[in-house]
Amino acid sequence: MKRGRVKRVLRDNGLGITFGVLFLAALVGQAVAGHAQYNDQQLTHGAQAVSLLDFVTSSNFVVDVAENWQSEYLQFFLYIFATIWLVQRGSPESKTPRQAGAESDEEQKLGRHSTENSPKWARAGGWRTTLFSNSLGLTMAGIFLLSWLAQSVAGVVVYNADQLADRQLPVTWFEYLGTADFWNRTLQNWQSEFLAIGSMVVLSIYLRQRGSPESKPVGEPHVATDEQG
Amino acid sequence: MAAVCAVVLAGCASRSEQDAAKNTAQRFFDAVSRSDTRAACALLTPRTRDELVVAEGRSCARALPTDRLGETVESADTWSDQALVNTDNGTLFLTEFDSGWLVAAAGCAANGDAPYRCVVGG
Repeated sequence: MKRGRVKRVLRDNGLGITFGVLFLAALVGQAVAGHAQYNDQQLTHGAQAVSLLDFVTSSNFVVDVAENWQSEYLQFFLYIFATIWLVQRGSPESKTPRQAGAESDEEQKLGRHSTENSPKWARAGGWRTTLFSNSLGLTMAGIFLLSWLAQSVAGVVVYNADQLADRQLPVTWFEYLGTADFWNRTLQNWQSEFLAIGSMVVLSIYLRQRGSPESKPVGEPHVATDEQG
Repeated sequence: MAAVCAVVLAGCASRSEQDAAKNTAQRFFDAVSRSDTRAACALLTPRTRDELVVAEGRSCARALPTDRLGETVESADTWSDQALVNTDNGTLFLTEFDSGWLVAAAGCAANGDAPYRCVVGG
């Protein structure tokens, strides 16, 4: 009975659980590899090695984690908002040109078109429905901004420690926002995210992955838009 | 910002860290001023001490140029395990170890946009 329930929970949430586990495993791997690399650099610079706990609570680890997080959440935030208005004919990632925009209440099951199973805030009307209607994009945007802020705050600590180790002056947080270090960390992540999502949009017009909702059905014509396999 | 520092970072400059770095710098100067170069050398990082010995071909206590290092500590700035201490005669750079802050470079002067030039530990 209990075993059956566990099995069902795992089956019903396989995607979320799998990526949660992969995330944790990759984060642990990053911590271990980053710790080894950091200690190599410390010894090279005549400083002392640190424990794994000290490393994962240091700005060095935080900046490396945060610079990747911010770009991932920026990608989703931009994609969620851009796909409201922008379309890509033939891509299963896109709506049809006719659907471009925020869509009608009927299409979005709002107001008198809501059902008793609609979320409470979708039925509430007013600011709550407006907020709930944008909650996914706003949450992604919020996590992006917080991660980017964390990257900048941890980044200035790492940058200034490197400056001092090189016998050069530290900078303020505002000055750091204008440094090549900050923008190199930022843009090297942004470009890869934009490339990946652009590739997905375009390649999915002509290529298929049988059984994946990210792909059109294998036999669907290339020109078909907004179809999932 | 302070809240972000407190939650996210272990590296934001704290007053106690700055005081600890200044304390090491002042003890270094005190040792130099009473010509206790053995004590002053004990406050250098192992790397800086070794480099001084190799460069000068003498023991650290004999090689330390006591007349060009400064006497009074003025202010400090710390970032992670690195610190900068301004003095009446140039700048000190320090590195933090388990035993506390140690002097990595002393008698340092600004050099335009290039790294500081240091009498010890350049």
